[in-house]
Amino acid sequence: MIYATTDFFISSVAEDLVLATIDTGFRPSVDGFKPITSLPTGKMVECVQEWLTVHFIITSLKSHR
Amino acid sequence: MKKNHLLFTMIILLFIMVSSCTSKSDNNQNLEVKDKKEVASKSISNATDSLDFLINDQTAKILVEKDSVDANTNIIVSTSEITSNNLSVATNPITPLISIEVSQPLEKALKVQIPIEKKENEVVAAVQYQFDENVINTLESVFT
Repeated sequence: MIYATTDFFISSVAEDLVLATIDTGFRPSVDGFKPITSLPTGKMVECVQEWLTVHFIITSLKSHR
Repeated sequence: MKKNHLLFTMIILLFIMVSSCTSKSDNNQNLEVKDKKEVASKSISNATDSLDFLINDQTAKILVEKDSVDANTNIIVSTSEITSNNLSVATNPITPLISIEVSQPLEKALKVQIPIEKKENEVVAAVQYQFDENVINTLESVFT
């Protein structure tokens, strides 16, 4: 029996594209996001699901495919 | 000094990017995937535990801290190939869609470690997608 589920993928975007996005002034007004820290190539990326995200898993039950 | 200034600028840019990379319900955006395939499952108790699974032929891990659950809990990991995306912010999926299902409420957050080869001048982040409302949300992603 499934209590909750979450779906995610890893995205990699060129920094140039990030700058272009900023230049266009695109600002979706949603809270709950966290900053990224990038370090050297070839390391493990650790996607930390904070408690807020776990709460999101609970609410996402209705969207289970 | 100049190097510190550059680093500070990059951190600010990344923060703004992540702020931009979150979008409320938008019926004009969607993510299309193939049927999901189960890649790992495990029953965990209240002890420290981990679950390995393969992403792009490399081993990824889910780390479960002690006392994360009250009772035995099943964790199921599935993946779905992303066939197309029409998301309203710049995304470039480099992994399949990863689905994590749990059978009981979690008292603590899960940590998911995914091996990624980050290239120069690229920004990498985990992006959560909610199917019923077409919502995306950037998860906290830290290279370790």
